[in-house]
This record gives sequence, C-alpha cells and structure tokens, in this order.
Amino acid sequence: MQEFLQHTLNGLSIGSIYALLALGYTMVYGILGMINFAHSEIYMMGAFGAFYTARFLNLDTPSVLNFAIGLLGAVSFAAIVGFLVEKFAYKPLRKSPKMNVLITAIGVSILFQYGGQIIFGADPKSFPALIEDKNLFSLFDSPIHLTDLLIYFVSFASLGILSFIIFKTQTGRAMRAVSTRPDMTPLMGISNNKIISATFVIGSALAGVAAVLVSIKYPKIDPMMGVRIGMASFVAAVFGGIGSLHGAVVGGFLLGLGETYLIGYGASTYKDAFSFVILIIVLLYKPTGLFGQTRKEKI
Amino acid sequence: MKQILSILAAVLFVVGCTKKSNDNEILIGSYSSNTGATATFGVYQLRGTEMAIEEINAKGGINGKKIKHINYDNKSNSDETLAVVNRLISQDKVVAILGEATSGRSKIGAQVAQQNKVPMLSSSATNPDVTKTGNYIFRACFIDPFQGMVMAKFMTENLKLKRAAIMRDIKNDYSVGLSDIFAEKLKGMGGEIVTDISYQEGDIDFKSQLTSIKAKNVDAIFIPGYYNEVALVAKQAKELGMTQPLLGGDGWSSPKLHEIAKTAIDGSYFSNHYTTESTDPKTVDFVKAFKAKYNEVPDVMAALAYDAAYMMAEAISKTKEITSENIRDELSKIKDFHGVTGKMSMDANRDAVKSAVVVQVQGDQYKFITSVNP
Amino acid sequence: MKKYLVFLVLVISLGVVLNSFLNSYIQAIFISFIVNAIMALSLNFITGLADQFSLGHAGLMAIGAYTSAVLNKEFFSDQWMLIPLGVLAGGLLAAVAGYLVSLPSFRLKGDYIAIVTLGLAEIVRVLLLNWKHVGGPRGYNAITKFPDFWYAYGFAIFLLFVTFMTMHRLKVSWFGRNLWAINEDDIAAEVMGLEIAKTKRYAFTISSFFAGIGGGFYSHHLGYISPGSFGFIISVQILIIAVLGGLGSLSGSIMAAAILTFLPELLRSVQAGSLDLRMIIYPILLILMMILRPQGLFGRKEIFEYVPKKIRAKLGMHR
Repeated sequence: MQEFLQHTLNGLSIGSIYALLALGYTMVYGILGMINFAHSEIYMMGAFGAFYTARFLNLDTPSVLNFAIGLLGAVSFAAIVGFLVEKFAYKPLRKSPKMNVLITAIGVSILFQYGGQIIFGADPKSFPALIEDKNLFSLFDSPIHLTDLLIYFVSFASLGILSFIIFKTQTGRAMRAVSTRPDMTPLMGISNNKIISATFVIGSALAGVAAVLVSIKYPKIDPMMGVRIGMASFVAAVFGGIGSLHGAVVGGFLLGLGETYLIGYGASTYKDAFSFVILIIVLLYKPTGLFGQTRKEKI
Repeated sequence: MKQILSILAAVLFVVGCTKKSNDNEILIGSYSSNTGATATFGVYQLRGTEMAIEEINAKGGINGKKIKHINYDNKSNSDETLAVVNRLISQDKVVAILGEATSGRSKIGAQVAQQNKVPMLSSSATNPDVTKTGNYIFRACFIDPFQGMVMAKFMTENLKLKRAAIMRDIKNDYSVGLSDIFAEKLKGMGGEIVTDISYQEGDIDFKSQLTSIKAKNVDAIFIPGYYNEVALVAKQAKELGMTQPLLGGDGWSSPKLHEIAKTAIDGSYFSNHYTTESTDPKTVDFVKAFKAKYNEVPDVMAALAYDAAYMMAEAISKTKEITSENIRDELSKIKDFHGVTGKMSMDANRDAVKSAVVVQVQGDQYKFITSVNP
Repeated sequence: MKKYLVFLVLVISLGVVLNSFLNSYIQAIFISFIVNAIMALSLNFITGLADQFSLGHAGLMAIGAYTSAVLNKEFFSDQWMLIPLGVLAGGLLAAVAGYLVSLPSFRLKGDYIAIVTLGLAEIVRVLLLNWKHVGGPRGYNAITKFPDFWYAYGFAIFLLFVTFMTMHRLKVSWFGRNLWAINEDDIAAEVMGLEIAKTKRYAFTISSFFAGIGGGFYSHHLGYISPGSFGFIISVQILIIAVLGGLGSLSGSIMAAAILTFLPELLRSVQAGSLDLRMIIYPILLILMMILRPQGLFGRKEIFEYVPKKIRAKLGMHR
C-alpha cells in the first residue's frame, strides 16, 4: 500500500509538469487551431535562457533572488523566441491549409533541436541550483521538495489565471472570438495579430517557468530535453481535449499517473508507447478528447 | 539558367569526387555521430581521434609520412553511416577506418569495411557481434561479456553482497548487453537478481523505478547506463533515502557525472579503463593536453578514441608496405600496447584484451579499488 | 510501347555507368535514393493525394524491414534470391497494419490523423525495442544483401517502377479522382455518394504496402536494422522529400528524393569542417518552402504535364 501511495505521489509530480506544458499546447491550438510542435523547444530555450543568465551574472549560490533572476531570464528568452517563431514562421501561413502550418511547426522544432546542439553544444549541462530545493516534509515515506510544491502550485495557478483571463476578461473574450471567427474579429476592432502574439507569449512564458522549475529539480539540460517531455505533454493535451484548459491539466495528471504505475508495476519498457495507446483508445470513443468540444462544421 | 546550374552541379560533383592522392600522406578515415541523438559520443570520439593524429603528425607522422585524417558525420543515422563508410573507402580511398563509438552503427560500417577488405578499428563498440563480422574488424575496448563479469565479481567477492536490482537503459544495446551478462554471471556466483527494471536515455525522472526497487530488499543497484541518466538516478535515489551502492560500467566515465550528481554519486562503484588517480604519465599528459585544447576534461569516449588512433598508427608503422592487408595483420598482432586507457593486446577474435579497474566515485575523483584481469 | 523501350534502354545504360565507372560509394547512394523515392511516393499517396497527414511512415517502414529481414534469415536461410519474396511479405504485412490502423482512424479530423499515425509509429518502435527475438535494442544484424550491384540495382529499379506505375495509374483513374474530390471538398463528395472513410482506408492501405516494400528493401541494403533507425526523425525526412517534390506529384517525389539524396553528398566535399549543417538546412528549407512555395516543385502535377503538348503526343501520352 505504501508503495502504491508513493507511486501515486510520483505520478502526480510528473503529471504536474506535463499539465503545465500541456496548457501551452492547448492554448495555441485553441486560438489558432494549430499544433505548435515547437513548444517543446521553446521550453528548452527557457531552460537555456536561465542557464546562460545564471552563468553570465555568476549566480552561484542558491537564493530567492537568484531564483527570481533565473526565472526572469527563462521567461524572457522563451517569450521572445515564441513571439519570433509566431511572427516569422506561423503568421505568413495563417490563411494556408492546416497541414502546411503543421509541417512548418515540425521544421521549427527540428531546427531548434539541431541548432541548439550546434550553438549550445550537444552535451548535457549541469543546471545551477538557483534555489535550495529543500526537502520540506515526507508524505508516505516519500520526500516532498520545494520544487514539487512549486510545480503543483504553478500548474494550478496557471490554470486558474488562464481560465480567468480567457473567460472573465476583455482580452480573453477577444481570444475566444479570434478562435471562432478570425475573419470577423477585425470588424469588431480586435487586432488578430496582437491577440495571437499575446497567446504565444503567454504560452511560451509558461513554458519558460516550467523549464526553470523542472531544471532545478532535475539539474541536467541539453538541446534535446524538450523532445520526450513535449511529446508526452502534447499527447496529454490531446486526449484531455485539445482546446480545453481543464482537459490539458487533467490529461497531464492522468498521463503522469499512468506512466508511473506502468513503470512501478513492471512494464517499464513500454512507457513510451503508453501515452499513445491511451490516446488512441480515448480518441476512438471520444474523438475530440475527454473534455474537447466538437466543433460544428458549417457547410 | 537551369543549364548553367546543372553544369555547375556536374562540375562540383566531379571536383568533389576526384581527390588527388598524395603519396606522402597516409589517408585514415573516421566516422562519428557529431550531430543528432548521440552527438556527445561522436564529438568526444572525434576530439580524441583528432588530438591523437595531430600529436602523431607533430612528431613527424608515421615513418616520416603525415596522416591525413578524413572524418564524416553520420548524424547518428544508419543511412548516413552506410554512405560515409562507403565514401571513405571508394571515394577517399583510405587505408584504414576508425569508428564508431556505438555498436549499432559500427555493425553497419563493419559490413562495408569487411566487404571491401579495409581494416576498421572501433574505439568503444562493446557488442561482441561487431568483430564477428569479419577478420578486418577490430576493437580497442573490452566487450560486454567481460565487463559484465567484472562488476558481478566485484559485487560478490569484494562487496560481499548478494541481492541486486538492475536498472537497464532499454534503448541502448550497450546497457542491455551489460545487464544481461551481469545477471547471468551474478547468478552463477551465487547472487540473485531481485528485480530488473528499465528506463530510457533521455528520461529525467526515475522515481517510479527507484520506488519500486526500494520496496524490495536489495543490496545494490546495477545501472550500466550513460552518465547523463546515471547522475540523475543517483540524485533521486539519495532523495528517496536509498543507501544501497550503485554499480555501473564505463558509460559512467565522464566529468559530467559529478557535475550533475554532485555528492549523490559518491561512494558508488563502476568498472572503467583507468582511474583519475592514475600516475601513469601517459594518462596525466593526455588529460592535461585535452583540457588545454578543448577546454573540457576528456571522457571515456575521447580516451578510447585517442588510444584507437595511436594503436592504428602503431600498426601502420610496423608494416613494410602500407596496404590494407598488412595493416590488418599488424593490428591483429598488437601486444601490450600502452594507451591512456591501460595496456591491451588483441586477441584471436580481434577484441582488445585489457584489465578493467573498479573505481569508487569520490567527488570528481575515481579512486582505485581493485583491478580485474581477463 | 515505344516509351517503355526508351525507358528500358535508359535504365540499362545508367546501370552500366554506375557499375563500371562509378564506385561503391555512389552505387550505395543511388540505392539509398531509390529507397527514399519509394518511401516519399508512399507518403505522398496518402498525404498528397488523399490529404491525410501521416507522420508514422517510419513505423510502416520498420514493419516492412523487420518482416523481410527475419523472414529471410529464419525461413529462407539467407538466400539472396529470395529477397524479393521477403520484401513482398514486408509490404503485405505493412499493408495489413495500415488497414487495421485506418479502420477506426478516419473518423477523426485532420490533425488527429497526424497524431495517431505518429503514435502508431512510436508504438511499433517500442514493441520492436522489447521484442528480444529480433534483437531488441541490439537490432537485427547480418541481413543478406544482394551479392552484386546489378541485382540490387535491377531490383531497386523494378520496385520503383512498379510503385510509380501503380500509383500513377491509380491517380489518373476513378480512384484518384475520388481522392481528389475528397481532397477538394469532402462534404460535397459525400453528398455525391462517395464513401469517404472507405476510400481513405484503401488509400492508406496502398500507401502502407509501398512503405513496407521500401522498408523491406532498405533492410537488405543496410544489412543491419534497429528500432533506432525508424524514429520520428525518419518520418520527418520522408515528409521533407514529399513536400519538396510537391504533395500530389508522384514524379515530384522521385525528383525531390534525387535532389535530397545526391545534393548533400555533393556538398560533403564542401562541408564546413566537420559540422554537418544539413539538419539546419533541411528544416529551414522546409519552413521557407511552406511560406514561399508550398506546392513544392511540381504541385499536384506530374513532370510530364510540363512538357509541351506536341512532344507528349509524339511519345504517345494522352494526358
């Protein structure tokens, strides 16, 4: 029983990371109807942003200030990269068929991975301990660290804040409008460009935050770090119902739990396939994912 | 316009294809994964090779002739490997080939090299199959069956422990091979494999595997993977309050292990080719020179590649006439070659026979515990 | 009839040139080009003609490769003459897999197909990684190769010919027209009585068959395969070729395969030190193409549709 509870905690912990990244995927899909394959690389850029900020400013000792600075470095770098990618790679394709944008997104993703290998170096780097990841307390004989709590907090807070923005503010209303009828919104005085850029910036910033938290907890970064985690988070977003914020978070946690139980109870070698098997099963019964909304197609 | 382009292309192709061979040069080729999924191995392999060849040339080359080193990046890709090894042989007409770091791609290269009767020396491919391809294929490192035995022996005889858990990197044939042999040998020596669990290179979270192991009563954890993951495993094991020693293979050998794991990996053991305590001037000089040239401490891939290059040069220097056949013969006769990774001789299977040392990690040092001879 | 004779003569002369005047390096690249062309054609059939985005062709390739390799080693005792049989089996098994995959999938909309196919390729890869009998991560080694370039060349050309002709025939037939109709406006097509899901399924099965053929032949070209050789990046590489040639243009795929197989090798002589910038150039090429020329080289047309009508009439082509 103890083991089961420990696995559950581990699963929720991993799940919270997936949830955070899934929010980014789902936001962009919700507004633009495109899968931003490059989101995982923006996450990676966030990590390197913090890494080089720390190195440049010689942030050697863990402290709350250093943590804040590192976070700022990550968020700014990720947000800028996200903004630029949207502006130069996706914007020209807004009127193009979906497949073209998808292909472009794949291109951007690969470019950053291999480009990162050349610019940053392919070898893993040790991420500085920006804040002391204290062992706060133990639950079921499993240590709970500061970063664990921070990640949970940030995922739920993000869900809350994003939901608030999208459903209770003017900007959010504009976002929803752009996602439904981008042809009409300019007539309403909404600048599509601004709204879409804002969405990307927010999503990328979120990825940046996730990157710092994860890199403090698992202090190894490399240009390919986004690949596996991005794929899993993305799948979580899809089977949670892409376009739904709640779906992304629920999907993330479910996937985290599922993978953990799989590993813990003997089928660890199938972990990679697990997320996709679940995805396919869910899609078979609910083609738009757990919380997804079926979009009515007008003829 | 199109015609001009096609003529230009044709010219480029012809120019690219014809290479004037200089009689005063010895052409040695190498292939490595400088980019892509296993870029770290390729980059260090290349650095070790380049440094060795530079040194050899600076000292006058081989019997007066300088080595011309041609390296191609296979992008961690099988197709590319086939193309570049073919290119080295048919186009560049190298007399010998160095590479590769991984067993998988070495197998592909070996088939081509064997077919064309060009000697190939792999620096770190540990799967026995590689040299089984044919009599032109050699390796400068020990093979999985030996290394797996080393740690099994160490665990039972030195640490006097019996119950082991295995954490294998399922994506990596080196890890899988070592795990299988370790399991087999340990059982033969009276030990027990309590659980055999896997992870994948690229993973960052191992709590599930570790939690599962923690629940069972194990004395030690055998984790023959690469340092990228081992470092994080060690850290997380400590966080879970696990005190069992971790045991591993030469894949741990990298300064990054300590850099990422910090104190978490202290006290664990692994089998390696050399220890940093080594007072062997060859090793000390190598580490110093590498650091000066590349601003980083060498890892095991670089050290093995360095040795492989020197080994190849030695074989070539002993030939009366530089032909692929003669080089092949000299390689098979290598005895007591003194490299930075220890003394080695080529056995009848064209595998390097060398001792392994078992070291304990203490900070950024590997302390010598014992050595195991084949 | 005449055009086939011309084609045969060209093929034989090319073979003579490759075999006698050029070395094994160029021969190997040529065969790689053919494999790439077959894979690109198979992807093009489903993604270009049928407009169903598949990101999982590496998985189908893997099925074909492993089937042919295992069959040849365990049942045919490494006899190179039976390679074609193995390759065919690879294609058939891949087709079955493709059919099973397509059964539930085409209820899903656009992007989801991409994700599901991606998932399936990953599942195949993981299953192969775990299947000890075929080597798991160690891969499957010492696969029979053709003993002589002529056999490999001949078989390769034969495969490419069959693939292209089959697909072209289908493209200009009622089936191709159905695919185009679905592509243009699937709701209207359904109203006209077209069974969309069924048509898409057939298209996917055919596409899978050829992907399997490509994979099967690939295994006898490399001599060694492992699950690692069939990762997502391979699906992307095939995609880049198909996109460059033009999604919907079969001859475009072949041309693009030639360009993307030969050009990089050419550029190797002028590479910047040992830094292979191809994986930077390819994605940039992909992005620029999507923005500036999304139809690739030939769009949906075939290369001979650009040849003036008079010459086409002379060669006996009626399109």
